[in-house]
Amino acid sequence: MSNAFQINTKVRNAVILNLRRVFTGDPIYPYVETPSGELDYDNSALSINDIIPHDHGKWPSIVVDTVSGPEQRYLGPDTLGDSKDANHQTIDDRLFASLPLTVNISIYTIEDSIARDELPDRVYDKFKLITDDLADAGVEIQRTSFPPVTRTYIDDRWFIVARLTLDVYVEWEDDLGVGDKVEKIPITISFMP
Amino acid sequence: MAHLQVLPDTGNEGPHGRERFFLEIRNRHKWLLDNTGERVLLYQRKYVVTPNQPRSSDWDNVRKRARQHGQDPVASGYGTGIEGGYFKPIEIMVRVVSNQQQVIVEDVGRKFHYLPRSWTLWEPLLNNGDFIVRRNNQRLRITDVTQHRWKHYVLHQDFNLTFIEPDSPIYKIPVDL
Repeated sequence: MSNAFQINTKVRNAVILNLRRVFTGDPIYPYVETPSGELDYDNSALSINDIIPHDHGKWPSIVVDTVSGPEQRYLGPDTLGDSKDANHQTIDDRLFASLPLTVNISIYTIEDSIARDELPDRVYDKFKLITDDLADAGVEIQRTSFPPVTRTYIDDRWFIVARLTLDVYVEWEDDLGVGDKVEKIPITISFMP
Repeated sequence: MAHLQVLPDTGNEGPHGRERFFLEIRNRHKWLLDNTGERVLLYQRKYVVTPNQPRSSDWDNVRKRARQHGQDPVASGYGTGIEGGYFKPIEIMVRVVSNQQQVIVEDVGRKFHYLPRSWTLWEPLLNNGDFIVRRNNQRLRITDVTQHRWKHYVLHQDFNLTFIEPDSPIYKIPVDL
């Protein structure tokens, strides 16, 4: 990962993929995909998507969005983490950075205050179960909060949106790998005729 | 549930001498609907709990709501909170007036908007929350019912229809088309 935007996106994708994984065997709200990887409308009880809640028109829908905080980059010499061999070839070029992120999870339901309560509960519990998986990926949950539920009345029905907000801290490192080997310095000298 | 309506006295032209027009207005509505309407199944929603129609297993007594989402094999109220959810279907004629279909992105997600202002005869009396099933198994919810009356007698009923998303429990109700 080479920049903060990518880590932002990758954390969002990791949360989506993990939520899909843990909801796959859920007894009431199973998430099911077809063999080709599409959402199985008939057998899936919910959809789990990225930033846009309008992809599928399926309810209930869990939508994951991430907002990046300021990147915490070590301010030191460019050669930190840079090691070279006897020929001055870079053999190891390690980068390190960290990023506080806010993961916003919105849960859309229709007229169902039971699912409004059950789904945030389930998401919260499932994040507790995958703490180790997240830590292996360099993601640590610092704080979880539950912003107010919002409601919109459309065509005689209440559309309810429940939310979870996770403040997470992410660390990552990257290795740019072996650098170019300098074998010769090409210098051309022209002689006067 | 539909209740039969008390008709005005049309014998001897009624106490005011104009009641016979009432039947003629209804006859003309019936003629119009026979020629322009489509045959649908009407499912009327249960609203009242009685010993014969108790609360369904998906009723939540704290929230006073029934479950709408999720897969619950014992749910039998289809989101209404009352056993069975809806009365047995009635075949009626409805004029579904053609209307614009739109996909609108709301804050709550992508919503298919289609609100044809439709009408039907004076009976059975419709309520918001009832739904109809068309021949192609499309299920539409009835909203904004307006009963057009002469004195207090219903002549015909206007209403809106809205699409029901396919993962609604209403689509779990078996329908014999």
